[in-house]
Amino acid sequence: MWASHAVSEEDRLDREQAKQVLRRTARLAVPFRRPALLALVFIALSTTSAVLGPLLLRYGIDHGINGKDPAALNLSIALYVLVAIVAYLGSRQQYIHVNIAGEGFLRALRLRLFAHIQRQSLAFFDRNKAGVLVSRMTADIESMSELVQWGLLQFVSAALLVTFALVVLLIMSWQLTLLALLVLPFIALASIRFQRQSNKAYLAVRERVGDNLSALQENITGVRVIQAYAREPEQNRRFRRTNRALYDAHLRSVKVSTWYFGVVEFCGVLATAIAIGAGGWLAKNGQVSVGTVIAVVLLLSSLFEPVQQLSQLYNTVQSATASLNKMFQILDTEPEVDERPDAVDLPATGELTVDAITFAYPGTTTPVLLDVSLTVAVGERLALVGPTGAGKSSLAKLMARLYDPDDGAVRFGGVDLREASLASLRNRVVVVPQEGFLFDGTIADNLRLAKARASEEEIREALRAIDALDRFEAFPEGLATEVRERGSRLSAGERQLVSLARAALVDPAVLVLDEATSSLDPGTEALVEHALDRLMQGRTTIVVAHRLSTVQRADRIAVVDRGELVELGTNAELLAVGGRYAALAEAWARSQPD
Amino acid sequence: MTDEAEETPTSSGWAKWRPLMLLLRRQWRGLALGVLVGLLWTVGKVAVPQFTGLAIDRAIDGAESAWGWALLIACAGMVTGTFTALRRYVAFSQSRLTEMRLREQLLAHILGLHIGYHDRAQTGQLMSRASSDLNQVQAFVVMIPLTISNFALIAVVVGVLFGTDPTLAVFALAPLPFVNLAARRFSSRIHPAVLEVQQEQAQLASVVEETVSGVRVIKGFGAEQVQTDKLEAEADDIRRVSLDAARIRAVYLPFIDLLPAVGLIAVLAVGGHRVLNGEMTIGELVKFNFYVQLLVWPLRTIGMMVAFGQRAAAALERIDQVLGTTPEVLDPPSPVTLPAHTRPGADATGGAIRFDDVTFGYDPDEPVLDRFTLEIAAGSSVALVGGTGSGKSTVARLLVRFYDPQAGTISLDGFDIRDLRVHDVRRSVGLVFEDTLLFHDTVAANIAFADPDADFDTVRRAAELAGAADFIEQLPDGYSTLLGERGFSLSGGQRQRIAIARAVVSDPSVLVLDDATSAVDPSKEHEIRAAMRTVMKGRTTIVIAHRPGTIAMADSVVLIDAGRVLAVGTHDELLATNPQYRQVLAAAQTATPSATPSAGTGD
Repeated sequence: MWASHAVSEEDRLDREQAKQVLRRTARLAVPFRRPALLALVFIALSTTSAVLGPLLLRYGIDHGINGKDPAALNLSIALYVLVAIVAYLGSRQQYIHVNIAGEGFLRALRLRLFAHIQRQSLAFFDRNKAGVLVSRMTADIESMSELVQWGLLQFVSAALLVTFALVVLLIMSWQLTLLALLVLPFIALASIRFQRQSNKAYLAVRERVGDNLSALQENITGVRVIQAYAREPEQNRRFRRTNRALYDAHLRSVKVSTWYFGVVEFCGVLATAIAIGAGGWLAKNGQVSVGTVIAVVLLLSSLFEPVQQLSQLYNTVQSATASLNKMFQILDTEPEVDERPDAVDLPATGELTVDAITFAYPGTTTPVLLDVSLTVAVGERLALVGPTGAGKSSLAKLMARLYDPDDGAVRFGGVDLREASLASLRNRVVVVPQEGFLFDGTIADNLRLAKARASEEEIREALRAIDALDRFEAFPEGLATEVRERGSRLSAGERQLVSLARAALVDPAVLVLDEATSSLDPGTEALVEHALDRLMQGRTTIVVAHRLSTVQRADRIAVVDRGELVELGTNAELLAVGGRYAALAEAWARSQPD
Repeated sequence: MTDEAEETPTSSGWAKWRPLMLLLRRQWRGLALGVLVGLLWTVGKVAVPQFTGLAIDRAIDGAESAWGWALLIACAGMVTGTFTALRRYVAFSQSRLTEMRLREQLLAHILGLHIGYHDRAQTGQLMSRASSDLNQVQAFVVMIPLTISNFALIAVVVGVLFGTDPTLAVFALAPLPFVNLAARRFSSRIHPAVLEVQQEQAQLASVVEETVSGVRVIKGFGAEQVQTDKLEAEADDIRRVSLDAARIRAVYLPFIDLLPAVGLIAVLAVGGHRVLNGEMTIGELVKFNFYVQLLVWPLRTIGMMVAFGQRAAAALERIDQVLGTTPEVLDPPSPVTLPAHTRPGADATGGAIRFDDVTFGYDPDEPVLDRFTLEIAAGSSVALVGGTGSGKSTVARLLVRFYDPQAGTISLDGFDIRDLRVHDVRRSVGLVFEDTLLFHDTVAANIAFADPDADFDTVRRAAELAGAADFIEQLPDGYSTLLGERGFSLSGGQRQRIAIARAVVSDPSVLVLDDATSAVDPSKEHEIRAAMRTVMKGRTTIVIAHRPGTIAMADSVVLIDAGRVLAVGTHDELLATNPQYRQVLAAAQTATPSATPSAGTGD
């Protein structure tokens, strides 16, 4: 078995980076030093045994057979048995301990990375694609798990074996060893060449496999369109091209390994030939014994396999360091929205004040909000309206401290949100997103997301508060119903109800709502509307409004356009002004279904 | 990959091997070459220890010059090196060839299967047939020539050893069959363990995935700890099953390494004393030593071969289930040729459609269309209106023979569509779906989907007709912009307009728009309506829509309910006379997104 790992040019680390990655990895691995050291001991033990075999054979031949001493022969046999047993036991333990250390390390890495990703503020998730983050936590770590499971073991034992064998060889006969190792430069050159070529070849294979898979996926998911337009022949023709390209890439990678395997095999035999030729010559001069020549020949044959393994593992190790480097980059990112060391709890209630805030999304220069100020009274319902991209959703997000303003401040009961403890902030201000996002688990689990230690009764109470308890209790498994991935077992309206119940469970002073743009089926729509009304009772509410009806029910309306607050007042006031809002309301009324 | 049936082969028949056998027969020359180079490899492999043993006796322990023997060994090394390389190359290139051809065959078959099959099949399942299952087959095929030469090597070595010293041969070889046995058991035990690790990894991945996608909710409630606990449980599971797998390795792999050592000790113990008694030479002892080591890998791989074979058999069975499915929608044995005016691009008006007593259900026991009869004159336009599940979309799907009705006939210009070539029917009827699939290709190629040879002017005219030209020109690379999953993503309405342009290029005599403008922003729909009028001119058009404005464009409206035609008339007539029609339209209104000044997803 051999791994086909490869590193692309942009991922490859230079010497300094690689050193740094290794140093940091070592630091992360400190808690696992005990099993790691144990593993190293056992690897050394089993490797030593592999080298001792030929030595014992030499002793048996020189002293036992050629020395005509059966006792010496028997001693060598007995020792050989012992060595074999030690090697067997050592090797069993090495598998276990390497994995205890390695899997422990990976587990710690997973937890650390995940915790760090979760600590990041939303801007981080805007910047990094979800797919990339997921693959850091999955594919990248998994690529290392292969290394942990057998690669690391092989790497260390191959390196030890080569070292031990060389030492023993040199001690036995340095002349013979040096002569036989004349082939080493060729193997080294071949290995370097192989490592480079195979890296390139594997990268090409990986890319072609990706192309091939997406071509397959596209054809299978697109079969209706393809058949509707009778395009099968053309699609087959195209797929043959992609498929052929994959085949060609496979062939190239096979060619690369083919010549290398041949060269290594030949060099191994050539070293034996040299050892025999030179050994015969040295033996005749009495410089080496027959047993030594034989032991050298046998050891040489066990020297080349590890060399070959090392050159193959090189790619694996390189791709693992590249993965680690990417993870460290994430671990180095400090969250922008974070708790201050001297954070205070927010008061139970109070006005929400937006004080001259200016804000641009991180990484951009154009502000989406420019010097916006407004105050929302306790229990007031404020609707934010404006065209797409005007900044109304951004304003809502800042009012819940999902982002921090670049300038100005948002305050609740006089306390700057940046100075508040995150726990009290999430208790006072709750954001309800457009669509109910559910996690795998039961309905109750999904509510507990808002309050991990909520009792069964609290959960029922939260659902009752929005008049949704009956609906879920009517399910055969009630609140213990598994909602499956993304809540696929519930309807869109039911998911929204769960999402609202979460907010009710927290019982916040301020609600920030992003109204859904698309509507639900008429039955649940009314239910959700009703739940929302119940939820908003007695709470300060900021709603990003998309519907005229919602806007009309608000106490005041704030019109945001191009990042500025252009109008603020009640429905009647703003209609009377005849400005931006009046125009918007008219357009709305016109486009309502007739 | 969670499906139980995926893991265990249910039948042990030979039928599943047929597709593979047919392919392998096509490659018999390559495979024979593989066996031949394998035999030459065997010769080289066996020669090296033989020469080494002789050299030790005659040159090291004897009087002959050692350099002559060294040269001989080096020559044997040349042979071994060359054929090690060739053996590997032939085996891998042949297996990749099989894999490539089988995948081609598989996709061609999948694309030819009736839509009824695709309704039930899962994309992921079909994908793994053509990827991971084929990899299993490839891993097996590569072993075929390698195993044959491995057997040859074992046979020759065993022969040589028995020829040299039968007693010692028994002692030396006795532990080796256990290598094979252990390798076989290892392979079959480690496989499920590895699968379990993969499954746990997949579970962790879904926690990560939902956390990253739901991060706004998690942040909103400060629920980081809940997710951290979930992840920790999954990470613990991974560690647990990985350590289980490590324990299996720890049991088998050191044991497999131990066995040849037992053989070597036996050689030294028995052989050593024989040499001491003068019954054997040192060279022969060394030769035995080498041969025992030489046999380890072939025995190990043959042991794994059994497990590979089982996995390949299971994979082949799953592949054969796909290849063995017969397409249900086929060309008739002697198809009728469509007259010129019905074919795409015809000047004269063709495209008269008739549904005659058609009964059809996706499940034959639950008919969706019930003795459905409808006639549409060539060149006229009809809007099909009905509630959810009324069967209106099924009408469109039957017309392009995605399914065949259980009773009744559908005819195109007087011909039963089952008497025509499937290809001809589908080129005459252009179907535009609600949900448009764009391929990973340029905008132009996506529009020219029906006719890849269409020139650029045709494409651009089609885009203009479909009201898509404006936004296409604003794309980063205009008509050359790459679309699809890995390309530029368009809004639903933009995709639908590309789909309409696609239908325009195919220039069908019958155009079916199945909810094809539902995602177009209502404020933009009037632009498209003008385009649609141009597109509809001169061809039979069936419009399936909800919006009154779109419905009103058709010459007549057919109200469908429970698989039957309930009423026919113009939009205004039905609106005035038919209460059920008004009801259906009103229901559709509340279900469609309420119009907003901005259809964006927030800012």
